Amino acid sequence: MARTNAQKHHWWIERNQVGIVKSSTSATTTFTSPSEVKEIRLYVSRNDWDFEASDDSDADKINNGNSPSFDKIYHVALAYYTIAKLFEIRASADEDPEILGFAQLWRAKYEDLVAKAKGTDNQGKLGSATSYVIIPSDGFLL
Amino acid sequence: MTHTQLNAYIKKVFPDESDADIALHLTEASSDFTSRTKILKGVETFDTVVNQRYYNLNDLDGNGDQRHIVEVNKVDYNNYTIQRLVTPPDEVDIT
Repeated sequence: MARTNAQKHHWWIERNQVGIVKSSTSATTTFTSPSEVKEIRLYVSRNDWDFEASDDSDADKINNGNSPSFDKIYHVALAYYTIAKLFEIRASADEDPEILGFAQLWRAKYEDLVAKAKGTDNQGKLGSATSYVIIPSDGFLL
Repeated sequence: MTHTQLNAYIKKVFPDESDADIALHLTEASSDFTSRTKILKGVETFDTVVNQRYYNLNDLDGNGDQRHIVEVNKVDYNNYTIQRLVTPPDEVDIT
């Protein structure tokens, strides 16, 4: 019964909100708003908590002793981005195009890690079995 | 790497930069990285309200202490996965 009731519900995203409706059997309307209090669970991609230069231990901040929540092999990307940004600011303030070259160098290192992370975002911890090889000696089925 | 280790890495290049400024840039970096790669997955929960159709993605639990949602991939209603509508219902109700 709970399953049948749940299956009548639908969701969509609009104006940065999630909409939840129930299919209606009424002849005058197709969907109605939820009529019961039930738990909704959203599976999401999200940003991390903000960094804060503090020795406190807030649950909703990345303080001095905390690490980003994503895989640690990508943590250094945040340093690459920050160094690139600081070189960009300095280049702009000093009007020195040579400094901009350093910014581009660090930005390229950051972009490399972004590209690498994009390739792994949906694999979770399943390993690298995302491709396979066809060996000709195995023959082909047509 | 901890925040302190990232800070130390950056200070090898910019030793005079303040910790507070570095924290601001690290937050900007983190938002850019997680938005573009969608690498940080998670689950958010909230309860429906009778006759309320829309729920703000920036503040689902009403506490205002939630991480920014980049993308919603799947939704469960009362422990059962429900289907996504490609477009909103044509009969408009903005509650």
